[in-house]
Amino acid sequence: MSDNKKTGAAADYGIMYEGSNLPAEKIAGIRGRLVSILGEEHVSDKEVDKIAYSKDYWPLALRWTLERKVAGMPDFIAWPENTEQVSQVVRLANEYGISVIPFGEGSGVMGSAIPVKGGIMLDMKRMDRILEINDEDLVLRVQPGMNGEILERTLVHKGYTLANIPQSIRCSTVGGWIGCRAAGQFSTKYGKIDDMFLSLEAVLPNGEVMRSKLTPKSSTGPQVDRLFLGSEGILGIVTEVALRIWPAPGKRVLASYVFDKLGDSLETVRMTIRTGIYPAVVRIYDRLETERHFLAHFKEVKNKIILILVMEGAAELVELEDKVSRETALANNGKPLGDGPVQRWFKTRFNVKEAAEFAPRDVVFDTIEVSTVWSNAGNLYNSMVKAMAGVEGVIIASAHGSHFYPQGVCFYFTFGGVPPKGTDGTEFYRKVWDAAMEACLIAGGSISHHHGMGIMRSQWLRRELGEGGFNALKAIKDAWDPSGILNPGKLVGGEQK
Amino acid sequence: MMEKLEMLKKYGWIMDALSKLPLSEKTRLVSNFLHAKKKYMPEREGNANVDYILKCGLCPNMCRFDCPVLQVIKTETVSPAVKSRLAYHLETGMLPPSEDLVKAIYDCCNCGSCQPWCPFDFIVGDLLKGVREDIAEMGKVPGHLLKFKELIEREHTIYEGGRKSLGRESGAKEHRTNRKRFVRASTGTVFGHDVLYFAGCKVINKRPQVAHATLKLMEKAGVRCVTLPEEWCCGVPLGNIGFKEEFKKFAEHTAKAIAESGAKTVVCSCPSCAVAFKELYPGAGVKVKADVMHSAEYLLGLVKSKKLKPGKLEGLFVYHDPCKLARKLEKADEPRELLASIGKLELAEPQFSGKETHCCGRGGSYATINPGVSGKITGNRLAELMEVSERIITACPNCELAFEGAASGGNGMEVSDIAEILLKSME
Repeated sequence: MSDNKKTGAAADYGIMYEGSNLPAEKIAGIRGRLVSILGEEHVSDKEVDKIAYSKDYWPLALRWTLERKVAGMPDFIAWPENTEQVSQVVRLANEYGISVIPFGEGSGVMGSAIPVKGGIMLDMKRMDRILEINDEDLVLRVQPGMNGEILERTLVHKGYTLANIPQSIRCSTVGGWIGCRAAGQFSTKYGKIDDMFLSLEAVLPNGEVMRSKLTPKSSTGPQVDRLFLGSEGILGIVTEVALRIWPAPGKRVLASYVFDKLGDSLETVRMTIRTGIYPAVVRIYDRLETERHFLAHFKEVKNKIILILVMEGAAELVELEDKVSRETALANNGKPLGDGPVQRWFKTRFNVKEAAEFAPRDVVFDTIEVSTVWSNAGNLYNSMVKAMAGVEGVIIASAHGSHFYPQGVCFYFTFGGVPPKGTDGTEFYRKVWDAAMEACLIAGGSISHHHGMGIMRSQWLRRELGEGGFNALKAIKDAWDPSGILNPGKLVGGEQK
Repeated sequence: MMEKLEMLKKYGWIMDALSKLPLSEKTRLVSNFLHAKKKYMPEREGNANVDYILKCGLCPNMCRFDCPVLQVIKTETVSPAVKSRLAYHLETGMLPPSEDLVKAIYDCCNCGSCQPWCPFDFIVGDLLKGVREDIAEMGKVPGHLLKFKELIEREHTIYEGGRKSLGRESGAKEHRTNRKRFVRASTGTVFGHDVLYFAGCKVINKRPQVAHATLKLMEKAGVRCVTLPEEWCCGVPLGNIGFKEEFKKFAEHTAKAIAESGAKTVVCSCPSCAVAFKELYPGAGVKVKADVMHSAEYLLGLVKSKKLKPGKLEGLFVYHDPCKLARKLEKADEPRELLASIGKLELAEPQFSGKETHCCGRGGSYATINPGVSGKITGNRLAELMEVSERIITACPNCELAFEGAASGGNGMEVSDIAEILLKSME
């Protein structure tokens, strides 16, 4: 990591990750070729654009913003509008040995879209069309630059839903969802993007275009296209995706229950799902988060654990889901609190303001999502809260269960604190993350459920996958991308902090 | 101090955790909470609210999906939160006011589409206004906008050689008061001047039929109405591009003219003029001593008080909510209520309406700032409207001109002001 002080015509900032360091004549050559592929107006090397594309939503990069530091400076931004152009840019990058980093809308929180060696930011936003909505097959074909909210609004307008509703839906793209294996708030019924995925078209690191067959299921050897799920741009550039969709739900029922014990609330969900009942939204907030989100409006939640449920779909099915989940909650000492808390959740679920409020106040704040099987849920929760709270300076360490499956749960932890004297914000941030990841790995949890790895988390990938798994992924990366041009510094390329 | 107490109250849920901390850590946290931000603020206080800009710049861009400029330009650089981040870098001296950076700060049509999605309730265009004022003070306003400002100052309207009063063809005629000459609507009605009709540059010069309809309706209702003998631009375009002193000069002129008219109520066809009188003038320290209403709201009042009796008009229409009327003035129901009073008129809703309306492309003087992108935004909105009906009703001359301009190629579309529709139903 370098901290090159750049002083020019009044511009004054540091750069955290060094650039491509390519000689000027090479840069000029690349520029000329990019312009010939994309046209002058779809290539930029202007400083203002480079700074605009220098970071994603990784909290450390926010901190650097305050400290007059730029995370990483690309050499170019390029805006392709079709697969052929993407292929040509990737071939060109191979020829010149310059990195290519696919970019959607930069909402990732792990630094996946930060250029750590300069290069070409390949902004996919011009490839943002819905190509087909097939009613008979319930299949959507869409380009990767499509914004999530625009997509879902369009589908709902036409009587369908994809139902991938991450908190970032308003500021993320389909390509980004594929890249980091996103999960939405309605995942218990509709699944993660992994479950919605059917097939894709992608440009491989050598520029070749691969297109997988659209089929409900097949038995034709390993499913190569699924390698792109969670690949964070290191294995290729996704240029089209087919996803399953559903008819828009006919009925929606909201319910909430409070519990004295976290275990009872988890048991309610486990037993409910075990019967084959899949509420769309299931969320369990621990004591601190219950009070944080609901106490100001519902005094009954004081010192309690809250479970909120949203059930949607065909009316008869929804009524059954409501009945079964209610009986299960009551049997596990839950007390019904009606739909009020769920309405409140609907109203506030996109209010992402903590980072903007806290970062300038030098309060360090972040979230960490991990997953595990039911039998390990209590252990993982307790281990991670204890580990984070044990770092000097941490004031809050809490969690909610945000995604639930027949086999287990995703816990979404939040920590906040102030660096102790003599420790800067970045160092403190890393210490809490180190403690949390260590605790997660020891407890046997998976270190990421849906945010991905990026710069921040890739350092633990070897331990997460095990030697064999890591080496297998690295072998694939090395074989497909021997020059290492695609999004360096992430996943197998990101063992260094 | 109040703000700090509010902040502590808002984060009361931390208090439990806080109470368990050693005193030294507690002190440091509270100190950070209250004071740390100062070091990230510029030393020199400018026009921009850097605290708000920073908050916006540190957001993951939750409003970006509804930004009409971004939907056309498709680059991070003009996305709402990135513009604010760049503005923050400019205000703190990290980046100079380069031509490219300044261009990004001006690539906003201030339509307020961002506001419904903002946890801070910000309108990015309003935040950028202070930044543009700072850019103006640095002498870095883009050349074409500087020329626009000079034109307005020279002509007192936004059009070269433009008119500043309504002629007789608009249905107005001259009227003399004891202080100045005003113009009144023509009937045999006994006139005072309880109401001043402020047409606005665009209605006077490009859509006089809107003034004609509005004045005619007021006549029918027996309203004592006058217009100004010389109506200056309300000044909003000057404010939009960062010239706050010049805006104030125009505000003072018009506020004085309104006061001299003696009218108790000012009725505007242009929502931007109404926003200026209600919000921007007082913000610049200029009081308007009259109630200010948009024509849709005022005409609805006349219908409700039975001074106007709407007629019938057959057909399927779509109503386009002008940004400033629906979001700033919060008048989305009134135009619909007025249209509902017209017999046989069938009104369909576009996918995005009310406070979630989409910009016509010409908000915030954007047709002057970036005409190419402005035109494409118009095309996007027109497509949404025409999915429902080719017969568009709106309540803003700026929107009407945008749609008319886009329709010049011939797409079967017709656009009318709400006052025109009401009058038509009665004729």
